[in-house]
Formats: sequence, C-alpha cells, structure tokens
Amino acid sequence: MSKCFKELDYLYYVDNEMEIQEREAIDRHLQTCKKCRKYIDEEIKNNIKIAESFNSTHEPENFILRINEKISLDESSRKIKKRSLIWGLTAAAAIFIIIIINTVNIDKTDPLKTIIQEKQHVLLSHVNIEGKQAKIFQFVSNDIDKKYFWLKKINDNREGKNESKN
Amino acid sequence: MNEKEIIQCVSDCLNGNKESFNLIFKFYKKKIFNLCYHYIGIIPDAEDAAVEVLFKVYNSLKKFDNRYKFSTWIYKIAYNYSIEILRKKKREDKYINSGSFRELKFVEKDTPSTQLFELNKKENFKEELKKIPKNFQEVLMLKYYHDLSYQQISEIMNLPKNTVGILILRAKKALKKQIVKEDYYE
Repeated sequence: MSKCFKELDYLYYVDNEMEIQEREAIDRHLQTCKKCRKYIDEEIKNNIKIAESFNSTHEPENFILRINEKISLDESSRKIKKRSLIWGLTAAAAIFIIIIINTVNIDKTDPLKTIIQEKQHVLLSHVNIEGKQAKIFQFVSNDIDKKYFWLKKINDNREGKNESKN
Repeated sequence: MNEKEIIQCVSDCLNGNKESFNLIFKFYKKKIFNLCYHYIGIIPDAEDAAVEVLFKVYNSLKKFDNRYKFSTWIYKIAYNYSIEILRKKKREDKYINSGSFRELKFVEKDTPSTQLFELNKKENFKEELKKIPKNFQEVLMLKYYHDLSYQQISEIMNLPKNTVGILILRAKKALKKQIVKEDYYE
C-alpha cells in the first residue's frame, strides 16, 4: 500500500484543484487505504453541510421588480439631465449671442457718440460728400503720436476711420 | 445556466434586449443576497445591498471582459460592495481587514487525523460556523456555497492562489476545533 497523502493534498483532491497525474496517484492510493477513503467521504459530507449552512431560508421578495424599477428610474433621470444640459447650453449660447449683438450694435449704432463721450476731440469742419452732410472730427489719443480721424455721415451711420501719424 | 448561456444573455442585453438580463438576475439573486447577508447580517439591509449590487452589474456590463468568468466578476462586485457597507456601518471584525491571513505559516500534518470529526452530524453546525473568524467564514462560503474555484476566490479576495487552499484548510480545522470545544463543555 502506498503512503497516505497529506491533508492539503486531500483538500485539493476533494475540491477538484489537482492536476490529473496527482489525482490519479491519489485514486490508486484510495483503492487500498480504507482510512483515507473514510476521510475523503467525511470531507465531502462536511463540505455539503458547510454549503447548506450558508444557504439562508429567506427568499428576497420582489427582487426583479425592484431592480427593474431602479434601472427605469436611473434611465429617466439620465434623460432629464441630458435635456436640462442641452437647454442650459442653448440658453447660455443665446445669451452670449445677444450680448455680442448688443455690443456690436452699440458700437455700430452710435460709435461716434461713444467716442465723443470717451475721447478728446475737435470738430474740424462740415463737409458735403455725395450730396450728404458729414462732420470731420479730430480725436487726440493718449498716445501723442497718433491722431484718429473719424468721418461720420449724418443719417447714414457709416463710418470711416483713417489713422495717421504726426 | 452555464457560463456560455450567461455570456449570451450579456451580449443580448448589450445589444438592446434588456429582458435577457432578467434571466441573469434570477440566476444570481439568491446567491448575491446570501453573500451580502453573510457580511451585513440584517435581512432588509442585505436585500438593499443585493439590489444595489445587481444594479451596479447592469450599469457596468459594458466593462465586463468576457475573457474572464462572469461569476468571478459579479461576485467581486458583491464582495467589494459588502465590505464597503460593513466599513460604513463600522461593524468590522478584527480579522477582515488585517493582513494576518496573507502571511500564513502553515504546518502540514503528514497524514489525516485519525480522529475524524463527523461535523455533518452536528445539529448546531451552523451556529459553530458563525463563531470562527470572519475571513475563514468568507473563504468557506465562497468555495462551498458559491462553488467557486481557488483561482476565482483568489481574484475576488486578492489573495495568491496557494494561500486560498491553505486558508480553507485552516478554516476547516478552526471549525472542527470550535465544535470539539463546544462538545467538551456540554
């Protein structure tokens, strides 16, 4: 009769964690060793008892329903968040565009008024261009090397800008 | 359901057939609940935890790598979540987060003990099981109730595979010792 194997070997054997060759060696030993056969049988019964001990009698109720409800709620919440994000971005873009337009319009509609309010200027003369009345201003900037000449046509809101250096 | 059928259900679900995931829910609900209940110990909380675990599994389906076993992946999510709940509830057992069982110095007996403890005949087996250290209970549960391989257990518990076998053997010895101690005082 071959020598009995170690407890750890029998554990791997019963738990099916053994290589084929080692398993066959134990099989051969078990054919001749009653003590080890009894040990293996008891270990198998113990394992079943251990498994049963962890099996609770409680059956979770409405499990599938609860999970599906949670999934549906989560999906609805994501859709709402996505829509809110899109609306938010759209509103922000709209406000941005309105601000830009107003800024441009302020400059466009009355640039001269703004400039007159902010910069020193001198009215040089009134002129007649293509049948329309116009004013020529001379603006003096803080930079004494530059002078800005603005031409504005009355009732036309067109402006021309000529920059010249002294 | 076998692994192949589960993978097929996952694939169907990812392709838009959400009903197919109910089959996976039904297959795993009891086992996931029992795993959560083992750690949390209160039925309603364990139910909530199990629902949360399966919800996480559903949301993480795209991340599942089908080179690995689905059962390992789902149990790992359940295990990690249960441990997280335990920490939050401040019900840690001194063995759960200790590294002691990672440094096992196991002394093998040459042959099986001549005194065979017929544990399966003990009526209070379940109660005695609860008295052994938590990490021993964990590994016995994962192996014999959830029927996982040593490789799967090592991935879930982040242990070397060899350590799993040694831990199981030590757990069984501890259980036998616990039962013998109870018999002595009866």
